[in-house]
Amino acid sequence: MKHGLAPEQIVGWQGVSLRVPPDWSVTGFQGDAKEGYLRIDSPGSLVAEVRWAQARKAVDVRKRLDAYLNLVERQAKKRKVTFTGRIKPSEDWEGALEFNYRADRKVRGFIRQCPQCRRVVIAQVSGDKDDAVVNVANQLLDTLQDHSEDGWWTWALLGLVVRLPERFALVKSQVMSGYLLLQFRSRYTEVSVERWGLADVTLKRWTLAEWALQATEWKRLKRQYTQGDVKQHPAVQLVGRRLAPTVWLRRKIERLVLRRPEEVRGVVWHCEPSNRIYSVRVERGAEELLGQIIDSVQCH
Amino acid sequence: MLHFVQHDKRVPVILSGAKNLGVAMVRDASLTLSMTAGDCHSERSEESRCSNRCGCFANAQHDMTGKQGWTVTFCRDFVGATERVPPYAREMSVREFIGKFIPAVKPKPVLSRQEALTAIPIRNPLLEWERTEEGELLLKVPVEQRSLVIRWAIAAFRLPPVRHIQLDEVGAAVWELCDGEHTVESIVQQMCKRTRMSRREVEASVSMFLKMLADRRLVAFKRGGKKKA
Ligand SMILES: [Zn+2]
Ligand SMILES: [Zn+2]
Repeated sequence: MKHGLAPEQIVGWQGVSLRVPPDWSVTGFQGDAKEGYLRIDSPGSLVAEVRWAQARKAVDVRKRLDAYLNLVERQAKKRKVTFTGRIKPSEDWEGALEFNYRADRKVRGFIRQCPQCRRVVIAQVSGDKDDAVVNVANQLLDTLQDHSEDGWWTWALLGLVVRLPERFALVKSQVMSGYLLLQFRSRYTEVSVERWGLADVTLKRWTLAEWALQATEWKRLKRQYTQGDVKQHPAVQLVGRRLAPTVWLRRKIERLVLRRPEEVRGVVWHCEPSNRIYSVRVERGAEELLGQIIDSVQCH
Repeated sequence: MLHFVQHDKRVPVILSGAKNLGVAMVRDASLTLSMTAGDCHSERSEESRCSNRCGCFANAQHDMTGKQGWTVTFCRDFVGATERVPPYAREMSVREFIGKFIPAVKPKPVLSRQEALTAIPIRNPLLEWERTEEGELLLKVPVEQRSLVIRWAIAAFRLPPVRHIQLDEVGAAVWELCDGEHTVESIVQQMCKRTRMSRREVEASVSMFLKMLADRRLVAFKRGGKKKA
């Protein structure tokens, strides 16, 4: 029986993206763009996992898959679980291989190397005995993309969706209940995207501007602000500079010698429908970039 | 997020500031709750153990087979005991202790996530509480002191006979749902609607919050049925 899963929620990490049902959530990630891992859990026992590795030239995917399945088999043996597996060439993707195996859990997935970006991706969906693993895997893994067409990567988890140029590497992340932070860097430009939950509780005591100035990173900066609208939400626009004397001196010299911008620009807005506060901050980057990033955020 | 501020006229202890209160999401969030329920499990195996110590489940009616679930009643000493034994002072097994530094050694929680979600939190019946005007909630924890010197000191300095613990708006909402009828799952669902946060975020926060309450013996868990609430 095939039933619709409605994979509507986009999950994006390090250039890999796929669509999952709205109640699934990212529960783990590791590594970087070169090599990494992403795990998405359903509310039940189904789990989607993606592992990627950047390669320079064509690799033998069969060899990699064998190595992976051997590892799984060895682990299953250790736990005294019988392992059965099957590999067949994919019908949709040239050179890709599909696999099914069963140890303590049922698993269906594929391995492929993208001819364009040369990324090798293993993606799989696993579940318990009575889960419709094959059906779910077919629907979710169909939506998997290993690179973006327009040079902008989608970073999306737990309902936060933001797009950044590929050159920005993730340098810091905090994924907590009620608070999300993704921080990126490309050469000297830094971008931070933050999201807070429970805006109604926060804004009972503070106005948005007060809160933005006193409870966020902006409190460390020498800044000015104006109030306005973003995405039809009340917003505070801020421009500022770092205060620390060493940073200040270095930035001044860079500004004079290398003509690099030293400003920090950002917007903090309150999205009422989702009861959240969003903040995007660009340090030492073009003003235009800030606008583009804010446009890409899907806040509600 | 979920504020949990311990009000004591003598020393106000802030257990968690708003920002630190976030719970890391990229590990199994329900694990924290499983551990709590697991703790109760491990304590119930030595029935006599609590009588002179934390007293937490001294009068618990345990079902040792664990198949039919277990119920908890609170002993009279319950609250006084909280006062004497600071949170986390429960004896730690060697394995738990090493597990703090080497996660691989950490003992596995006894309950699965599903079991943890069907657990039913119950408030300590010896507590009183009231709503403040701001929608917060003030728990009154009776202070029972056995030491004569401290009792004398309390009388001499006219210290309050109760200790206050303040829960913020969201914490208060969870507290009110701990009525012995709602499972953790249904509390999570209701808080999802109320806070408009994602389910995973709410599950992590609520689990963590309930664990904090349980560590202070303000709530206990009763094992629920098999099916989801
Ligand atoms: Zn590609
Ligand atoms: Zn919005």
